[in-house]
Amino acid sequence: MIELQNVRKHFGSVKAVDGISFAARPGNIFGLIGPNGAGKSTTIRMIMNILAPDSGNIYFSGETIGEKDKERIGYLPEERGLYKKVKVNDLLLYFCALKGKNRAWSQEKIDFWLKKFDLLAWKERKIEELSKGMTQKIQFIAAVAHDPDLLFFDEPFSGIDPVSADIITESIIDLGKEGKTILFSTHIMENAEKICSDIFLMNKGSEIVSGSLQDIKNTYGSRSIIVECDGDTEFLNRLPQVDNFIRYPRWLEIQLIEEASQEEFLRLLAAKLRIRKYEIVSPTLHKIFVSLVKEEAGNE
Amino acid sequence: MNKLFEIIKHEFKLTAMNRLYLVMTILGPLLIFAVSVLPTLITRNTTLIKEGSVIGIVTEESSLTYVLSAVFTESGIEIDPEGTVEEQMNKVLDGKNIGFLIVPEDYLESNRIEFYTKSGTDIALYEIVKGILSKVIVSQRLAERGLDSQEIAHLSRNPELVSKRISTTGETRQQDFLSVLLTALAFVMLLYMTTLLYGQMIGRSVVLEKSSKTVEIMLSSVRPLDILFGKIIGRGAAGLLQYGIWVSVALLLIKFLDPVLSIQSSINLEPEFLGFLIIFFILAFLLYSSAYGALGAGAEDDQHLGQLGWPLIIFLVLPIVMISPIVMNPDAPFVIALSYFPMTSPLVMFIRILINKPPAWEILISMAILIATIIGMIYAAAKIFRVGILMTGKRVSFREILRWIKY
Repeated sequence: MIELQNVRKHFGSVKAVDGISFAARPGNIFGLIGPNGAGKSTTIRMIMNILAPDSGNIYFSGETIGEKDKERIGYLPEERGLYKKVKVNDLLLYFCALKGKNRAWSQEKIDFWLKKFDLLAWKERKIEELSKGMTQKIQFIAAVAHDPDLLFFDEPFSGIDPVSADIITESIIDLGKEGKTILFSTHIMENAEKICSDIFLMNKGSEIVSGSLQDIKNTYGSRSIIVECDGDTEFLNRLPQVDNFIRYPRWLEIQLIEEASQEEFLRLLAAKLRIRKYEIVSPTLHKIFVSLVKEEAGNE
Repeated sequence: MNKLFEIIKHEFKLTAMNRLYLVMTILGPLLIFAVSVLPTLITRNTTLIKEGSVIGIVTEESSLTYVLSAVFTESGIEIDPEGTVEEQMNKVLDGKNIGFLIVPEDYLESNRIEFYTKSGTDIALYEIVKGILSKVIVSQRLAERGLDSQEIAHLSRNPELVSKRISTTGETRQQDFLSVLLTALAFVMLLYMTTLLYGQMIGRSVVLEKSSKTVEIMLSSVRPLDILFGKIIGRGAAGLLQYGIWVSVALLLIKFLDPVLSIQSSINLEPEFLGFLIIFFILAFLLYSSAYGALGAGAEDDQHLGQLGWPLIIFLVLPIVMISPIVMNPDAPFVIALSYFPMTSPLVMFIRILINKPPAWEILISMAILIATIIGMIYAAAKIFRVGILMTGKRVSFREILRWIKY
């Protein structure tokens, strides 16, 4: 359990993190979501005890987080680098040792993870001999091998191939089931939607919205319509039923005003466009984020 | 503490496994031996002419040939009187003989003898041949005046001129400027190169960890200062091990080879000097590696580190650029000042000790200033490191980095 209470960190005039509060529970996968520069990294660094907050409190299992808690935290940073000349096994043992784990215990865990990722054959090879995908798996192992209670994954899928991404997704979900507290940070909303149960959406250092993903969707989801179609969609701007819409490369996500009738709207579209797919869905996180950020900008 | 030890171990391994480290460790003792003995060999030229070398002679005067071959044999050179000018020339070109003399019949009057060698520039050989010929010919002239050979030998003996230096301990020791300069230069280069190499190594490894974000993983496990001190101590230990190997091998080489070659090193390589070498390496290393560690934390990449590092390099290079005046005037006020100024004192004080050992209190004051500076430098480096290690995406100036000390 990790809990932030009104945490604030300013760098000069830059309000990197401006009074945020949230709690991530064991067994849940908690998404810390926001665009680049939203304050995610600063938040992570404060939780990791790398930076001290200007004000506010961070609690880990009910106590103020401190240097001793570093042994219970696993961290996968966004940009990855490892010592190139060091052997895989030596590197993993080193990171475990830095977490205060003894050698025999660590070796067992390392072997377990290497086997899981099918990397046992590379155990005695140098990092520089590994492919990019393998290196990323090693880095993932480095974050989890010491069996931490709190795990922090910063953009775990950036630059990773789909097969490896699936293995990692699976592992993260498993770790969640084991009762670990998992924080997951990303600016790609689709990724968050796939695995997070709770989210904290932030922008410019402040909270936009937080809570369980389902609640958020219910609250902000007057339902959306996903339309795949051919033809000029320009006329949508002029339709009184349309509250707003987002054009994705292959489809449209449309939100109607509350009084509008779906049937009537479908008929209108069918008259003007060739429709391949028409689906009523909960809004995507991206959609919620965009509309909330717009709303906030409008209020200022 | 335990984790700091893990970092020290890791950094030590990283350094010691490096190929450059291994090569340097192996070549180092040879270098030390070379620098301590070669200058002596170079300046004591006779030893450079191979035993059994042959010099040809073309002359009608067989008695001269007889006398010369007797005298040359003492210097380990044989005389070959066989053959015409052309044949002698061929022997030199073939490499059989190292040169030949043409002595005219009236050599005592004309006072002119020609000496042919392949290069024509072998000054050492020229000096030897000239010395021997002068002696022989002067003796012959004296003999013509009726002096007997014993008298001649007594009258024509050269005075021996030995260069000695006065040291504070009152003992005197053979010393000549060139070999002292060369030896001092070599030792100072060694100190300079290792200090710079290890300093930059630490700076670069900080930059690398910072730019690859490995440092984020590190910081999620340990405190920033554990990283800095782990690097300094770990790499320093590797450097010390290297010096240890160098010094012990050098001592062995000198112990066993010195008597064999009967060379008296121009500067006595007493254990004391090697002790000072190690002490000044440790001090210089601590000073410069903590500075480089701090700069590494402030730098964006290797290039940026290079730019930030040049003020350090200036101080390191200064004693080397000025080595000649320092060796000539080890007690000049500016040299004494440089041997107290902490950024140059490890190198300059070491030169002073090497050439003309100053009183102990001077060495102690210089070291005290240096150690105080090291403590300050480590304190400042720690401050800078904390701020810089998390700062990315900005190429800061040297001045800005200095400002971080106040944070």
